[in-house]
Amino acid sequence: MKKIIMVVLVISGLLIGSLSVAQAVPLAVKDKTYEGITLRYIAEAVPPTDAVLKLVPEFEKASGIKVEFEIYPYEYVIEKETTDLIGKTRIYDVMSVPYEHLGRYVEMGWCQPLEKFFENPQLKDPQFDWNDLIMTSVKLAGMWKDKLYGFPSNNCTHIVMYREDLMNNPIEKRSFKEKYGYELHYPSNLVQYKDQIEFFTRKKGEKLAGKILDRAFYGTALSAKRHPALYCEWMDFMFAFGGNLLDENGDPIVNSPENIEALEYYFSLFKYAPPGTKEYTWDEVSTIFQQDQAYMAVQWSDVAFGVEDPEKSKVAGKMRYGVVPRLVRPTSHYGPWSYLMPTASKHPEAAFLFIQWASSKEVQLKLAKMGMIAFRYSTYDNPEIKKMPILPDVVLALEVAQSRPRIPEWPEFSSSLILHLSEAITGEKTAKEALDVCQKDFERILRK
Amino acid sequence: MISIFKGLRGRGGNLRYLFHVPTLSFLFFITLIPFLYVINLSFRSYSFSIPGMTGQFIGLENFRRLLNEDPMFWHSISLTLVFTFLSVSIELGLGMGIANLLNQDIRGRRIFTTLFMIPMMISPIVVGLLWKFMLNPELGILMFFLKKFGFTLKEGLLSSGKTAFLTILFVDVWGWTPFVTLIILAGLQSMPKDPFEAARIAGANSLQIFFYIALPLIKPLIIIVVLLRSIDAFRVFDTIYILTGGGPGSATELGSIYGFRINFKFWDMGYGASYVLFLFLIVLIVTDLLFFFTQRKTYMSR
Repeated sequence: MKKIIMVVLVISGLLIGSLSVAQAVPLAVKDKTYEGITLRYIAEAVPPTDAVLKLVPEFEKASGIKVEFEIYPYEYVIEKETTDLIGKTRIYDVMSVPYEHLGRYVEMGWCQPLEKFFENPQLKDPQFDWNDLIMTSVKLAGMWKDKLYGFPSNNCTHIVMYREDLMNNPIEKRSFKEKYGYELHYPSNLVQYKDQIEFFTRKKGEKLAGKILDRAFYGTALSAKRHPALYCEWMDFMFAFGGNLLDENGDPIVNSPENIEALEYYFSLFKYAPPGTKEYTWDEVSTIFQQDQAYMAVQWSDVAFGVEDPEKSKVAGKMRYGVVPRLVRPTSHYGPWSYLMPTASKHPEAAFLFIQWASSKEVQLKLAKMGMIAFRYSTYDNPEIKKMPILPDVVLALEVAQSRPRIPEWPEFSSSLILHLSEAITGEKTAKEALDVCQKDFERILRK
Repeated sequence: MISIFKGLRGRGGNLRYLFHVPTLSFLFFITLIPFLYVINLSFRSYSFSIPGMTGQFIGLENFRRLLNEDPMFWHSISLTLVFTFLSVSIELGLGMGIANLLNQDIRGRRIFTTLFMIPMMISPIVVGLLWKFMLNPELGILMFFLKKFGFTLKEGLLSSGKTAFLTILFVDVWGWTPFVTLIILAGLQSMPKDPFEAARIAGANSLQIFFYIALPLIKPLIIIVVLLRSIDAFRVFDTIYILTGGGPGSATELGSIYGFRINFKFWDMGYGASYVLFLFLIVLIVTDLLFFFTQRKTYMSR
């Protein structure tokens, strides 16, 4: 008798439990309060956007709200959004925006905070679970001056990708230990990072993992084109050396000793990279890895998936991923896009429901199963996710993520940074000279 | 009211001015009004990025900043002038030579002419992408062939300042020599045959015929071609933006690229307007000089 009661209790407990999970929808969605509204959402042409596009019919069915996507490449998205916001044409109800523009959008009065929507009992999702959020991500991607404006729409950050098969190869391990005096394993600091890159740079005809190379193999690949990719990559090393572009008061410290050291370290890696590396962005870096020509490099967590695609990559399954090694602190250069709601959005409540839905536990988990980077701890605890490549290593990177300045002056800053770093790479300036000029530029821009 | 119409019809000649109205209003709205707007903007502080800059009048501050505090201004202008001069000269020289060749009765002339016109018909962005892929040091086809013939370059052609500039020059010449050739060929083919026959009978060789007979006859065409190509070369943007983005360093930061950066990267519209006006001024001066020198020569030859 007792057994039967136990079983009944357990089953009913499970049923009630599953019911409460199934009913984790805001009232406004259940009642289809905003049925018939069409939202316009603009986003970057990257896999995370396509993933959300695939899942959005569920949201549309549940809430009655239609969502139309406008998808463009990176810079075109910014131009279209700026045109809409400046011209006050109120085309977009939700925008995906690179997080470094958050300060600019808020200070120009272009997007609105979300707190009041979360306080609305009709709109909020009772199962949202704020404790589950990876707060570094939410703070950097969505908060400005302590107010919440959005959540990550593409939560990518920098990681290190490397050839695990080569690192574990017994022949290589033996000769590495002979040459450098310690075991070959994931670099614990930037000195070891460079040692390994140096070690694995081989000319044509030399041996790699016991086989003779028919073309050169490179320790690393760098995205050194005159392009945002340049500062994205360098800033990882800058953060790892303990440097930064602005100090706590927001004053420029571009030519600090740590930064100069980090830049000189970055330059010292060029001899271990392919000759064309000065023309590469993150895409070409991935291509070199796909062609089995490089050992270890810094890369964006979303682009990194390209090397796992067996149809395009010769090294699918041989790669592994980690956090950028420390010299002073372990780090990752954070580079997400965020959902932001324009102040002039025609349907703010419906737009909020969409943003909340995309940030919910269920949707984040589904997105992660498609290979997207989630910003909830529960996603990474899921056993299926633990078996996937890249994702289990990314959550460590997310926790130590560092952000570039998100102030309104950033567009001009970044342009100056790209230009002078590029000049230093071609040898027109030394590391110190380049950063000195940048510092003067930053000071002038802030004074304006 | 009716008397006005009667008067127009009666005069007969004045009605024609009415037909100018559509064209003039088109020109007015499409060119003059935006131009006046840009002039107005250049005197203001207006940015899509910095909250405080909402269009306040600041007089000549943008121009002062451009001329006194912006080394990139001088750098981009001088690069553009050098690029324009070199590309137009090379295209003219090559174009005239090839047009002369195509003007003669050689086998396969039609087919060769058609094939030769292809680079000109490809959109600039596609041209940029095409060459970008071909020039890729590791994966591009150009490097592959160079290696086969024994030339191994230390780094890609777009990785160093000097070679990058020469490369974009080359791509422009590749793309636009056909245009120059076409125009000059049309000119050569429409020339009267008599002077040539007379010269040949008189014993002149091909080179003399070319320099003393053909050249003076097609001079008006050459002036037009140089003018058109100069204006276009001054404005070149798409191909360079895709190939180098203005880099490496600032080796290929031509006027249009820097102008684009100011307006659509810094979002500093007021400053961008003043820069663009300067570019316009320079083009105006260059074309005026061109006309001045060539018209004078024509006078003298008369």
